Amino acid sequence: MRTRELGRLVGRDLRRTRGALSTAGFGILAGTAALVFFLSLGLGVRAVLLGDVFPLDKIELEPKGGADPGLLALVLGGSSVPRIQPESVEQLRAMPEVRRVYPKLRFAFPSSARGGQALIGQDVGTSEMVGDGVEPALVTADVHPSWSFEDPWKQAGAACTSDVQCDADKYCEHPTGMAQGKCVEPVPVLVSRYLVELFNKGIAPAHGLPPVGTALLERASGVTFTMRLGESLLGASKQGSVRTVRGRVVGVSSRAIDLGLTLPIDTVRRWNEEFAGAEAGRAFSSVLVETRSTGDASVVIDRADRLGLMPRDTRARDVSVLVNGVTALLSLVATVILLMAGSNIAYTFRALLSERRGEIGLYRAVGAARSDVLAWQLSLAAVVGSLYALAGLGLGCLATVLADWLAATRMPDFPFKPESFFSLPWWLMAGAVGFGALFAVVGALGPAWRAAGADPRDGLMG
Amino acid sequence: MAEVVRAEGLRRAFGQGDARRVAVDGVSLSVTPGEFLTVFGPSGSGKSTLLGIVGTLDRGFEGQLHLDGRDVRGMSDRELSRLRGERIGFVFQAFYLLDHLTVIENVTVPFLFTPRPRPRRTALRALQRVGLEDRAKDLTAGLSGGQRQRVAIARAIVHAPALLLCDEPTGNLDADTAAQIIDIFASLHRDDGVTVLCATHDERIAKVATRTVRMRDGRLEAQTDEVGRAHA
Repeated sequence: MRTRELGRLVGRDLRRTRGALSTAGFGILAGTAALVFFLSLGLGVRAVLLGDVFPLDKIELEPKGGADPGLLALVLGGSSVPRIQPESVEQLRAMPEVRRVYPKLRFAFPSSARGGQALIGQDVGTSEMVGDGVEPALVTADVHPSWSFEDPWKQAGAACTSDVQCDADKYCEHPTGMAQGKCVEPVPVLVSRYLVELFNKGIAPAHGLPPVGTALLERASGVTFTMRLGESLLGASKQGSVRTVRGRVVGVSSRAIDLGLTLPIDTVRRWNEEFAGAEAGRAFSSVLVETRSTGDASVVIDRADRLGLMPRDTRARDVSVLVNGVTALLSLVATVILLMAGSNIAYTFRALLSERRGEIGLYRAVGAARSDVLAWQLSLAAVVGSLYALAGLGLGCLATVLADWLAATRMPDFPFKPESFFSLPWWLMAGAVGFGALFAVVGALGPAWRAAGADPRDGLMG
Repeated sequence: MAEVVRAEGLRRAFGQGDARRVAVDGVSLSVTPGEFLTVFGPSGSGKSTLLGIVGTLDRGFEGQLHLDGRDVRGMSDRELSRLRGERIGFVFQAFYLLDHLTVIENVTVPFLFTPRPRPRRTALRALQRVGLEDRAKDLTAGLSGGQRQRVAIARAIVHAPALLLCDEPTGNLDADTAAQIIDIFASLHRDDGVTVLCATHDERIAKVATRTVRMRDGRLEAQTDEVGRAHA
């Protein structure tokens, strides 16, 4: 049978049996709506958790037994903490599942920081500060266009012994053991979104400070502060002279260390060598590995284990498993609804085809093959399934909009609260409609098969 | 002249064991082009079963059957369906019209499965042949019994079949209406040369046929030649 004639036959059926098909299709509508809602919720929540909170395609590896050395270790001898040798970094780079490798150097000496008056009206500080050095390529996209993320020491600058000898926007960095320092720009620093959220939701309310919103965050870029190197509340480093340097916030980055400051790796290397020795500047404290896909993460973790490395944070994987599990459970509920809808379709088609034995017999008599009868009924089921699945898709989308609106207006603010809890990629929408149609076709398959195979004489000649 | 139908030793049984019943038992039959053959007999004699076999709706028979010179035994379901769609027309006692469709839509139903160019024009010609062209756009639900059977005849001849098979075509009609329908069959045979094989127990049809065979208990009993011509 040609498509045009098949379409005509199906169109006539849709007009003629609207009532029965509507009842049968309602289940498809409900199941598809539930499937769209639950899957898009799972994808949306997963995207927020794994994209912003715990990025999963990036694994931070550190030496076994070298979990965060802590402040005490920094004071008592940070350089003895296990470190990742450059050879191990090269082996990670050679793995086929690895897209990029970004080694990190953590401060191997005590330090503190203070500043922020220009931004929030008063200075705030921390008596212990953790800093990470990262390669500029890792965070280029997060750096405000006005600034660069390079070690200022690499730039040319006038020799100096005091800040007053430098231009207004520079200061005199004077490393230990050098006769003279150099006039340089403040060290570029990135802060994490987590840190901003922590300040806004925890510290700012406690101290009566204004939260750092989007507009203020824009202004924060360029704000300078001071860092005290070689000394903190808990003690001083064993080598190097305690000195003060300036930092400048150049952006907020999801790749920045959660609690601390993120600086150019070359800067940290210099300071580590100055305050903790050559080894602290050569070997890395951790390494951020970007995999080619999220599925490669487990493979890379297994191989890194042989290099004596382990993931710093397994929360991402735990969260991923949890979100996937909950999404699968909710999708199962939706699938059960669709299964029931398919069974309802089967019942409806069985009844319809039983009523139409004469009609089917007639079609067979005037030239319809068994395959024509089968194609006719399955096409009808597919069209009914698709139409009601489309309606279900619309209903599901509407439900996501309503849920987002309720979340925005009724749900209290919390860290990483997204603008939308849902993600509706085109493949999910197409898949949901296809799934709805599939269940309708599967439901109609049995009755259609029996009708196509029935003896036409039964309907015609009794 | 090549036979439209040539059947030899047709046998069809239903059921198994003690419930086994032979509906057609060793029937041999031939129908030549332009012939009007009635299979005459009482209810339950096997007429409809024989028509089902000849119309290729029933494949569970034994014996030999050739239609238009082609052996149907080895044909696939699709080949048989095409044969029915192109070479055979059916008229049933119960009409089997689709009442959600108009008259002309009912007549064009065969073209859903065996498409032809200009189906509506062809269907209108078939309706003219049975005198119903003015009802083409009406729903069949509103037609009388005689009109419904005329629509069914138009549907059966719309593709100019080589063989028109009729199963008790006057069985649901009153005497006057039946007479009109019989006239249409006679006219189709006489004027258009349509080959007709009609199962009936209505003697008036037998009278317009060129040949009548009698059937009882699944067997052909007697044959009357040229009955129709004698009464024409």
